[in-house]
Amino acid sequence: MLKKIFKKSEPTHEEFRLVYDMFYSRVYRDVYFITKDSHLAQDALQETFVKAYKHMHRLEDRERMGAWLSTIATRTAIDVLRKRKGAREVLTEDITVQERNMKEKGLDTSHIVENNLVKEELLESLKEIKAEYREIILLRYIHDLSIKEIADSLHINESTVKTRLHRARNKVKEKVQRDPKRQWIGGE
Amino acid sequence: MNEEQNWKEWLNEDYQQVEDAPHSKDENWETIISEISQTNQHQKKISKKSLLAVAMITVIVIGSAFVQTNQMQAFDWFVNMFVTTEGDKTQITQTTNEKEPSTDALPDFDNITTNAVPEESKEMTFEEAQDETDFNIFAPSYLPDSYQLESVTVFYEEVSAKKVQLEYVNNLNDNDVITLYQTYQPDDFSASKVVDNEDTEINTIELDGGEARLIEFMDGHIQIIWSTPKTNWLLEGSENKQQLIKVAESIDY
Repeated sequence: MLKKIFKKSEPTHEEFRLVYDMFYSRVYRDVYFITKDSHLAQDALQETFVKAYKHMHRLEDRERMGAWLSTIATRTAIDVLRKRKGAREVLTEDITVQERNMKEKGLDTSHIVENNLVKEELLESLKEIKAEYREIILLRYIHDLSIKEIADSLHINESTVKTRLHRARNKVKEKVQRDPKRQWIGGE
Repeated sequence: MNEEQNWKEWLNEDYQQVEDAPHSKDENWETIISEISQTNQHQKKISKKSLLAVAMITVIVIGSAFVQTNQMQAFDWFVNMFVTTEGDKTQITQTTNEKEPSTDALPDFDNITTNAVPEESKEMTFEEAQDETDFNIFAPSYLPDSYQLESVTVFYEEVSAKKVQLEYVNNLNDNDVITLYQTYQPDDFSASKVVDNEDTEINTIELDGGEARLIEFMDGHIQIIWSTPKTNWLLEGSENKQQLIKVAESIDY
């Protein structure tokens, strides 16, 4: 269906609303995954759809609209984070915060199944790694984009994608493995 | 279930757990449509009032008798840079012409010739900017500590992207900014800049085997101007000149 619309010019109001309805949830989840803040996510969502409207005519394969929107969304969310004052405090790997989190969780460790503990720690560590790493994890593991698709979408080469993916996993691994009870989740 | 499946499943759970947006879906839609509408109106205004839009003075001539002239070859196979000084004014001209600007029959100050060129700009990511332009965008590999890329802005003349601005901000002090302008000049061109000698000091510096002009303003602001094949560069900021030169030299064309 999407192939039939937006052939060359900008989409009509109705066509664009259709795209908005179809992808609103996906885009919001994408930008929230990157920003972890509803206000920033909302800003990024709005910017994403404005950009999408302007550049819709460039999208050659309409069947890939979801993936296309996701890459715009993640890039925009990273920009929004960068513009935000004090964002560095969130994005840098704050050892103190991480250690505090672990200490708090340590109180419950004897009552939690190890798997849940790893999961909790892993998801917590995701919030602490750089947004660029979250972006790669999102596109690769949640949207199942191939390395090549990610590289093409972000206009970086495949080796850069692999490097970022490797680093992203290592960053999470470092954080999870600080507790000897935690175990690393397999790699690429 | 293997570990990678666990990993994906947990990520998906996390992905689904979002805090609601402050505004409803329909309210966000209205904001988006309003933004698109404003942008479109802005673009129309620019095209209609092209002559009144941001103007670039392509020819500026002040005075009629320049007494001191110094030619500097930035990269001698394609761009000449002429620096002409008279009294308290200095004119810096970058041109693909081999001869320096003639000082004969110059128009007087009241007859300055200006060409207004419509210019529109858009901020975007580095990758989007690269996608938007027909030339390679280069960024410095060296920046003073604590500087980080803040914004990438593409400037359009008519419909084509001709200039890119990379703005780096000091994270320790938002007022400290280093800005790099890369202007694509595939055709013959001539561009001039006139500065007041009382407020500025102009020196020639060596940059990557070529030459550049370093302009120091009284308030501590510094500009470095140079050219490479088909491209003019302007780097400016309030960092000390050694640091700015280092930044300029780190651009790997």
